[in-house]
Amino acid sequence: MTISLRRSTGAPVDRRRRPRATAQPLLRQRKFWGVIFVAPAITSVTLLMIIPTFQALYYSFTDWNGRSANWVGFANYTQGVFASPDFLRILLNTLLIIVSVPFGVAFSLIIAHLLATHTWGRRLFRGIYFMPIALSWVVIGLTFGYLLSSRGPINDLLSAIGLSALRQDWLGTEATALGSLILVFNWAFFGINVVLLYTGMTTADPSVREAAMLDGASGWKMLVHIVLPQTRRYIELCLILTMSAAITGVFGLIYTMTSGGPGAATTTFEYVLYTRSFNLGHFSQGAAFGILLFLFSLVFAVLRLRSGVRADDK
Amino acid sequence: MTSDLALAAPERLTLWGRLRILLSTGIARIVLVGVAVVTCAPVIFMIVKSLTKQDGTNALDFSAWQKVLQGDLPGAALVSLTVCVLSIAILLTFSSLAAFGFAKLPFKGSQGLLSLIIVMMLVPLQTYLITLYFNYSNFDLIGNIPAVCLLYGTTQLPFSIFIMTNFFRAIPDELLEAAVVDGASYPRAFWNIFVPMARPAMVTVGVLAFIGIWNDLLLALLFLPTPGQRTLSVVMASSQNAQVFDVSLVMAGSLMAAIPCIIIYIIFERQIAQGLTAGTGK
Amino acid sequence: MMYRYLGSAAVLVTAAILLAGCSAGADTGSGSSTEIGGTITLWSYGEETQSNKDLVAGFEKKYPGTTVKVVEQPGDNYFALLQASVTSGKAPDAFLMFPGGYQQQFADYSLDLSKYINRTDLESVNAQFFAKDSNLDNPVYGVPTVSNMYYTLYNQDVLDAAGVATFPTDWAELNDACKKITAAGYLCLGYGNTTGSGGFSAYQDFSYMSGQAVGLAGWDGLLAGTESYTQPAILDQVEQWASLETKGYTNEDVMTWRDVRTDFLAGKTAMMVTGSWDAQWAVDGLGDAVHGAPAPFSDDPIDVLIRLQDAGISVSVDSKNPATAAAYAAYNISDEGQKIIAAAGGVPARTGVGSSNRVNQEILANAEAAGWTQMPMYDNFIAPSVNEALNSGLNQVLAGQLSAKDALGKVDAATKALTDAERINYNLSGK
Repeated sequence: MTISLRRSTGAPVDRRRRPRATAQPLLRQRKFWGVIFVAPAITSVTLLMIIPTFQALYYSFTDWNGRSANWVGFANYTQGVFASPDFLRILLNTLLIIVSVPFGVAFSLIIAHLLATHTWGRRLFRGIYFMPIALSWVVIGLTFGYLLSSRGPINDLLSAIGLSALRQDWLGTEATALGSLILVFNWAFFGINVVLLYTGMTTADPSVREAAMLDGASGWKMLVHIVLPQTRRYIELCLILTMSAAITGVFGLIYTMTSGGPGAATTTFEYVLYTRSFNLGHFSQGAAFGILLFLFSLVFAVLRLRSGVRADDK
Repeated sequence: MTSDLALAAPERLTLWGRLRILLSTGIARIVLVGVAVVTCAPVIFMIVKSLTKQDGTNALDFSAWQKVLQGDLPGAALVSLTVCVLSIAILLTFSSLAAFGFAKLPFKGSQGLLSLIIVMMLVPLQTYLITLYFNYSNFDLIGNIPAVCLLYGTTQLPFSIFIMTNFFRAIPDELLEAAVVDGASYPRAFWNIFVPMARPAMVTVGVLAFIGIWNDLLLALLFLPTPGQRTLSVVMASSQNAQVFDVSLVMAGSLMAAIPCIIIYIIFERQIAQGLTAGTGK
Repeated sequence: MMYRYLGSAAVLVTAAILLAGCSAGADTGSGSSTEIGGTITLWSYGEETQSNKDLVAGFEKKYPGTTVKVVEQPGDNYFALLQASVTSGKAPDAFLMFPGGYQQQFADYSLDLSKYINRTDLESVNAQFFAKDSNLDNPVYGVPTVSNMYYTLYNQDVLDAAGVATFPTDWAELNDACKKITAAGYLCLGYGNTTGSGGFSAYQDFSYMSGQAVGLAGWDGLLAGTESYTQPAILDQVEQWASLETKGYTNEDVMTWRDVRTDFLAGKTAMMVTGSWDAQWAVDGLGDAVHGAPAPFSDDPIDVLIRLQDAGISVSVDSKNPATAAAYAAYNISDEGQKIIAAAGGVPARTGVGSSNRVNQEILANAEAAGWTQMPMYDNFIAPSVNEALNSGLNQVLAGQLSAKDALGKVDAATKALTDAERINYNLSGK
């Protein structure tokens, strides 16, 4: 939408007529209000997110069990985390889930592109794709627990189309459990990304695309060279959203589908944080895992911030 | 013919051209339908499971739905609704104020603060959940609905501020300057001009926050433990018989819980698209 | 102008939240700490059972002026929530508790009930596993209300159809029976993800395997870490158990199959390892055909019954109404309370009160007639981290993903990693 710089009377504003003399107090007033406006948000984020995070940092260096806390230095990290028998596997799992995010978003990109270039039934499709978002992770985990079981519909389907060699207990086999988890996660999140990217594509400036089409570009070339750059910001948004959910939301999925098993095949940092804290009462170890998870996210956030989330680059 | 390839260059429609277009349209449609089926199938499975007996006969059985509708679930749904609405009110207020401040009223360090908030978007809830729980408990705020709604609102704040700051940035500065020159104070300009314009962004943020809070289990479990204050997801999780797992009950309950979210999405679909457009700085 | 009111609005909102916060901490329990009256909160593990409802009604009738508020907590998160509420000082007045290791975590927060309930009552329900060092002379942290058992439920109809006359009592007979049952087209032993939380409860099987093999003294050694889980006696049993799956006598998807119960009710499975809490469900579905027996995981005919005084009620030290809460616990174990539990099909803890459920009655009668040794449930006494290693390891063993030696080795490692505070001596053998 365009906003016209006119007064209500319709006459254009004459900038030269703004008196210079009020510039300084205006600036001060602007700064004052700036602080006031952001104050509630900053306060609550600090109180309810930042401070508890620092507390967790502190507790991760103690033997905190909910009641008392004595300083133990890096013991939680060396013994509780790194010396954990399955630490490498847990690390691998967490990394794999994070790394799968761009692939999921890429797939959503392709589907969004298809939707944007073919108008038949697009509203219906968008609605259908979005549906899984309305479901809670718990119920998704439960449902797929049934679907992926050895005698479940998915295996039956594989047999029906002649791929019965691929039949297996998807969630009960070490090799396939994590992969199944990642696929289910992407199934659930796919809808949001499609809606986001579709919006980006359909609101992009059409003239660039039309020009490209007249030049003979189509399909793949169109997608890579024209559409991608135009929807760059949307792609970033999708990556951030999905990454954030991959780190935090997938917990509910693990909890209901595999409980971290078989063995440690689907245990991630955030899952082990929960079990250490609540099942074993080792809150301090849970805090240590939490801090590590935060560091992970920070690394990825920095990588993202570099590519322009912070300021607009007009 | 709905592919815009055809619309683009009509004079190039040789026979081969036509075939290519038909093929690509056909493949596209197959892919889209295929993906739609994959998306729908599990949901249909859930519906079926909630309506059949689980003793091997697979007979049609409405008892799960009856139980769901009669039990405390409707009451819990009301609690969930209250919590969602209050949390979203807090969220939208805080984030629109802050976003406007960050976008239009910069001061020294405001960029840094903004980055800090956005970084918090990637901090997993579990990292600070436990310490937060104990903090709340020390101030006797466990089970205190306004305090918990403040918490819910805050967890959604980083994402919301991110969207809305970009949104406000896209509005030319001159609009604000003109209003100020006309004698309006910043708050008045904010309230009268920017807030109405921000509606699509607020709807987007509101809907996504609604779904997130409605379905949340962990926070609700820890922070709203007393009966009468329990949200829908907690009641559903607790209504499981300790030893015997009643899958049709779980499915029915989950489907019922999903219905409000779907309704909200349908109502606000158009505005979500608008909000997203503007909210990503286009 | 609008912004003049913003400031005061903000102040009002903050004040409102703080005030609301203050009032939430107000006392909900009335009555003095020695009188019986007022309201108490009781946490239930999962959905409130019928027997619990009847108990509450009976209690409120016996002591007019009392109200018991039951709070259902999801079973999966029960201990997590209890831990959180207890360490933050918000524990319920009374809560359901399991003996041994579970109880240990909460010992510091549980009231010594021997001050409120007399000794004869405590003895009649065998409350020693809820007492410090399993000795009723010490503080008693809870009272058991039921007597739960682990056993194998089996469908006699399926056994008959396969030509198996009596339920097996050792490995040889079990292999033989399973061979016939599988040949007849049924599943012999069903394992799966029955509770929706990943894998099956392998500690039930382990209780039998190791119980028969090493006895209570052996268990004491395992718990103390002086004996190894990989000792030949135990290793051998676990390997034989694992071979059931390779021979096809169990299903393949032991960790993820969710329809174990469905198939058992439908008469497709011969046996499943579970416990007395499932007896009513089984009888409702299969009628006279279903029976229970100790799991035959032994070289010699099995003569152990895993039975534990269970589902206890503990009272929180922070309770504002301890007398009433303790009275509720006492009511549960009184003759009247125990009869209510029996009527609902459970196995009452009190000696002399029989169960109304046929399957449980049978197995108790058999136990008495045959003189089986009663051993408690192993998982109640091992540290949570060891339990986790044991359960997850055995799950993988049966699924054929891990060798028995490796899995048991992991349990050894977990036991070694315990701190001294976690390594508790329960003195199970009573020496």
